[in-house]
Amino acid sequence: MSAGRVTEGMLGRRLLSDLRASTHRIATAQRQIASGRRIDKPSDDPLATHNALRLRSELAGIAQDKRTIDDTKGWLDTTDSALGTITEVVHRARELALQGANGAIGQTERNKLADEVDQLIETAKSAANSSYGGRYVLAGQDTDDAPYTPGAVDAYDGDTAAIARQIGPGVSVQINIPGVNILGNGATDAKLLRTLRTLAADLRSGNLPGLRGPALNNLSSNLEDVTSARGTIGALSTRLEAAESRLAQVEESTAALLSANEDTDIAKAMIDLSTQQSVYQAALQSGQSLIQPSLLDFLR
Amino acid sequence: MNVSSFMGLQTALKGLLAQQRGLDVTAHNLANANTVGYTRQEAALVASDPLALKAGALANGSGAFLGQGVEVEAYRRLRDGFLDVQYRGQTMALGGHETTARALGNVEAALNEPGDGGIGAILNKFWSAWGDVANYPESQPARQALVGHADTLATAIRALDARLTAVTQEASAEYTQITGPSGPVVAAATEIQRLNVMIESSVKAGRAPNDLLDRRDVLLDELSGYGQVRVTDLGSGSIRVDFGDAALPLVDGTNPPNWPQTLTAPGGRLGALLGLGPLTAGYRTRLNDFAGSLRTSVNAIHSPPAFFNATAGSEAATISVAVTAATVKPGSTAAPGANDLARAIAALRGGVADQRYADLVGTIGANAASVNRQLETSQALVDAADTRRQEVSGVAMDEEVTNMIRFQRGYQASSRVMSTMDEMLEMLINRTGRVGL
Repeated sequence: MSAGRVTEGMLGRRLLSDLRASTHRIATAQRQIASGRRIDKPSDDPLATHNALRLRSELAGIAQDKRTIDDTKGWLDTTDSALGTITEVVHRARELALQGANGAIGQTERNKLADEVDQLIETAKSAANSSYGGRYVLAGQDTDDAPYTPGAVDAYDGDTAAIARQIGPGVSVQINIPGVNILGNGATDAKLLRTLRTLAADLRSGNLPGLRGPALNNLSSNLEDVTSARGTIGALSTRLEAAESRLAQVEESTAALLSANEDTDIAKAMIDLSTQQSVYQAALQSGQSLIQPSLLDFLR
Repeated sequence: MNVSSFMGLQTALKGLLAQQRGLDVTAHNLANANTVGYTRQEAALVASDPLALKAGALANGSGAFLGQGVEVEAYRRLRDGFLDVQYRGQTMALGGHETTARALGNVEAALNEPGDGGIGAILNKFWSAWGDVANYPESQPARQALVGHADTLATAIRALDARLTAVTQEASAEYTQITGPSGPVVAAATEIQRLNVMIESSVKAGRAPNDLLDRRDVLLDELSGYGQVRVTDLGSGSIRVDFGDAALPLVDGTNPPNWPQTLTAPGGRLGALLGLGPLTAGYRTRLNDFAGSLRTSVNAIHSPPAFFNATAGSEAATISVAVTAATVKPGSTAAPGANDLARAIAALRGGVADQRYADLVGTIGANAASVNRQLETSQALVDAADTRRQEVSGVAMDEEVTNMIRFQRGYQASSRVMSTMDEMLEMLINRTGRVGL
């Protein structure tokens, strides 16, 4: 056995397989640069693929939570502005009650005040019927129907069920305030609608003691209801802002992780590419000078 | 003296003939420099038996041997059987890895991960659609979109399962084709048997059938890509070939091939094809686990009515959406704003189902990466074994051309000897004894 013999066939085959390997590496580098991605199929990096699936799932979850928060903010803004209107109604009703309780004004004046109270009732009801994206925000879970009907009937046509939203992984918050807690159902409770109806009746009947005592007391308690509801909504908004900015941070870091996990390091890939190209050229040149001459060229 | 005057002529003639044979062999080598499987040959020259001179031939009175020229002892085939064994072992491994790598490449292409078209991305959209339904439980379009995404998801799972089944079926079809009555295995076996017959009769007649041996070795190389090949020399020039784990030898001397036979672990390409069935079956089981946990986890919250339908045991092949936009249940009560179920289902994102899918993709990726690495390694080993074989058996031009010059000069020298002898005899025959004429 004559180890170390080198034949033309061996040279040719070796050159060919080296060139093939080099072309393959060039193609890989080019694909990574062109697609911008380091991983094209799971076998390129099984662990990174596994991570990519997890990170993409997290990113999709974050995007969904952000969408939920955006939507919820709109919902809360609508609720807050409805409650704001109702607050003004309570303030105005209080002023009217005080004016009506003044013994110096006549019944005609009181009747006018009573008419204004009737208008306030309509204002409060229409505020309570505020909707966001086609959903009545103060109707409990019965979001398809307006909770109050304009006019004389004050019955609450909603429920008291809570509506919740997920604003982060495992974090759910109640976002609705059932209108009945603020306006009441106009019948047996001491909520705003009944207070206002009583106020209007007292004004029309000139019931000064009623105007001085229970009316003002009830209005104070009603104001309390609205204010505490607005406080809840405000706190919730703050919480949403915090959750949103936290989500933005998490999204940024997750996206950075994902990018590091599967995106091409362009600088490195470019260097790889040009290295492989020069290797390829060198292989071609050496192949040309290796294979060309043989003893045959020197024999006559 | 008892040495013939013409002996030198005879010696020169032998030299001429031997150098000529040497040139013939060189010509044969050069002609076959690019023939697949060709083994270079050489004319083994050996000095002829010497002429014994009896006692008194030398000055000291002893006898001696006088050389009588050269003869061709054999036309030798320069090959190392051990390298063939190595080469065939690596070719077998390469054949197996190539087949597995190609099949897993198809599976990976069907997965389409990581990307926007894979089940992972569809799953994300499915969970997000539940999130949208949780935000807008009253909304018919949101529920419609959810049902659409769910349907896409179920279709994608069924398609992946069908693709895995197809890979198995393609593998068994390929196996049947290779081992079938018109397949390459039986063709190679028949040809080897035919060569055995020819080689055996040549050997009996005392001839070395070098080129027939080359052809038989090429067939054995080819066969080793399909499965493990063990060759036993029967001594008479023919061989016995055991193939894979077949009970009977594939070729036994000059007997007709024993084929078809049952193989369970033949190695090589056939072994890889047989192994693809269990491998893809394993993937399908895990795909079933994924589809099953998707169905169970969603249905556990949504049911009744069930959200996904699937047959136990073949979840991936049968999963389908069982609800319409009208029967999707976002909340446990009928209230339009109730969204507790939708929220609970949306929170399943990243849960068991997602993990099972990611694990499946990771496993397929790891298997494919591993077989790709093995493929590279065995390719390198085949190249190395081939290089070593070529070191021994390959035709080197420079070497042959050098031999050519060597034999040419040898031939020239022998003919010069012959003409010198001729001149000498001319002197002896025509000029001697003619003094004074």
